[in-house]
Amino acid sequence: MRGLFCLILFILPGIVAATPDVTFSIGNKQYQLSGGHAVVTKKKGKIQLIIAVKDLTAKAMFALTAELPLNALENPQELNSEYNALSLVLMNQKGIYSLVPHTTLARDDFMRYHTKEEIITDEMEDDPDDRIEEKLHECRHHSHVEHCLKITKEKRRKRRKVRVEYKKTGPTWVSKSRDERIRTGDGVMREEKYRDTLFILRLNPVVENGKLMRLSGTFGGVVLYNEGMAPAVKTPIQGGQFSVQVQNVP
Amino acid sequence: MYLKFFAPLLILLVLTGLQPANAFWDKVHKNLPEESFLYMEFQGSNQMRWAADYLKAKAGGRYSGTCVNINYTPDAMSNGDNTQCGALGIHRVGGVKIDYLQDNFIDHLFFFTWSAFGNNITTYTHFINLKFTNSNGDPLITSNYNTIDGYSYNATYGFQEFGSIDSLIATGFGSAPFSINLPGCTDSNCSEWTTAAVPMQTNPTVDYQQNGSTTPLGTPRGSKQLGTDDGTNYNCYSDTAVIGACPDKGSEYGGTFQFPNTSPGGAAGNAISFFTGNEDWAIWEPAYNAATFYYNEAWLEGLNSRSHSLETGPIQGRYYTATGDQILYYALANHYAGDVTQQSHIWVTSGYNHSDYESFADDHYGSRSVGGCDDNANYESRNYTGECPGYANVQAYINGKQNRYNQAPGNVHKIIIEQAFYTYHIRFRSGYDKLTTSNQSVWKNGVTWAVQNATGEMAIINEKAVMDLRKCRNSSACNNL
Repeated sequence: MRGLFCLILFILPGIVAATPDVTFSIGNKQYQLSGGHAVVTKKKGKIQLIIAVKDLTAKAMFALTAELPLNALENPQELNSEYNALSLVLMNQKGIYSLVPHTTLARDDFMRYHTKEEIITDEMEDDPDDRIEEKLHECRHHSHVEHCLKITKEKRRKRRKVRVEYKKTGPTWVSKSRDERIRTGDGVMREEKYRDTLFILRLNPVVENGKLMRLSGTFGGVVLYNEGMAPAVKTPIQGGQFSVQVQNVP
Repeated sequence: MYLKFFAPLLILLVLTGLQPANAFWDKVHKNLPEESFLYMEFQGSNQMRWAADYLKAKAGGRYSGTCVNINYTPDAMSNGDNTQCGALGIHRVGGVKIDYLQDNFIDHLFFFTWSAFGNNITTYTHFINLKFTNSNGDPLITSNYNTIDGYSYNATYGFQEFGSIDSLIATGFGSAPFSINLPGCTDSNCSEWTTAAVPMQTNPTVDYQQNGSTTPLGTPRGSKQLGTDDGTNYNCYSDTAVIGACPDKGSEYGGTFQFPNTSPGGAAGNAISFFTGNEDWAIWEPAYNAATFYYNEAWLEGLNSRSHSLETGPIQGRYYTATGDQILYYALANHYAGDVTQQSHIWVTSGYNHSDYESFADDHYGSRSVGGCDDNANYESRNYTGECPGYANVQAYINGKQNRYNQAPGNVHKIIIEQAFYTYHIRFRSGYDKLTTSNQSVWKNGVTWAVQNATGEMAIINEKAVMDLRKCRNSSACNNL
């Protein structure tokens, strides 16, 4: 599959295009879109990146999103949808092209599950299966009733007391490696409809005076295409290039 | 990009290439109401058996008599069960029919014409949001309940994380004015607006306003009767605020922008702005509002008022005059009753194994045979006692519910909300969190729990549907609203 992608993709690293802002081709159709921006937001120790274009003339809307480590945009980066939180949506008159990762790892590790535990203690209690009331009742027919009652009570069967506790436990996948989680399906979400899709994004930050001013790069891959309500088909997006200004310089 | 919203499932289906017939618990949605009816007949209380008899008498039989249609999409007709008859058949139809309604429209995406996409949004009503945190664990302070629409907003769980389907949908579908006045629409395409059950037609933006919902409708515009983007729609999500100028992002708390939209309105004049976030036209109602419409306005009142609130006058005498095909009216509510037993419909709209889990349910429980004991299919019968067939778990779930037939007429929303709360909490039980695992033994636990809860929940709804009419045979007994 990888080989196929390599054949399909023609990603030129480090290309900086001036105008239009974003170009790519789908099938025989070449798209050249203007009016692009990049927005970089730092949140919870990560960078959230949006590269978006709305081109009224071309009648197309395009957006790429990616999540990156905090200082990632100090250097060129290569992201792919197998390992990175990467999404794409393109809407034009032909339909909707989309991509999200087939497999993502759950992040809600704050979840706590309630489990029931039965703890056998050293404390003793009467065994309810001993049927003590029946035995005491039978003592009435005994010649030495008082003695019978006394002995029966003294010899009543005991058992260890079981204490039931409901404990909160964290998800089992928290301490597992990425590979282990994917192998076991633990802490994993999957979107089967995006199986066998892949998207690669290369980012080249343009830093001026220590500030991120522009982002250029290349992209390509195999995404899903929907025309209206028709079932999705996998479609290659090839030769993607972009160069957009960063709107909110962090 | 801070928005969170209810991503309608049909959009998800479009994006993921699914046809409704092949997904979304199709067979499960048919089986569950049937299961509830079988429970009433063979396991229920005397009153439940009697209620089932009443319904069978109205429908003219169990699987024969009055017939109704699912109205499958053409590609789903191959299922072969579009028309089903009798009380049990009508309940099967009611359970799934909602998924085939085309009752709301995104008029255009971007500036395309109606016909370019023709996305019919039927699923703005399938969710209830009860969660208290986002997927980072940050508390949500405004999203769980609001006095306008109730448990409405599903500020999509996990939306904050890029790469989610929801963020993609938000980006792609943000600038999408919706048709808001389907009955008054003069455009030819508006003829698509739905026929849920003859002669009932529904306009969700109007009809589903139950339980005090005051969803603003805006001002119709042009032949397609769109609302203007005047920012008056409170029950909405907005488009993507790439530049951070989104006026609809809600209040910030703990670094998270919260729903509902606490500051409606936005940049005027640019209806298709991608960068300023000024669209307000994705409208929905929580699942129980839609269910309440079908239960109150259609079943109890016989479509005689359509007033968005229950009126006792039209109910009186319906006990005698309700017809077999009208059983479908309240049977439609059982679709929502089924939805709220699925964790995804309470916690999250898309992603988190949503469709895969539902496909799993369809593959297993969906293929169950009535009365069977297949451990991998007959989830309704798996008892804690180990016997099969048995319904002890269903019985226990029914006994555990507070809202029953003896509530005042109407109030189906209380039954559904109560179930939604149970579903919210089952995720916290070890071995039941199907959202974060692809382990199918966990999925089986989840589906089993859902099937048994839905069976009990729907049996209560069916019983109540009969008892409410009975209570309202005359006005003196119909005044306890």
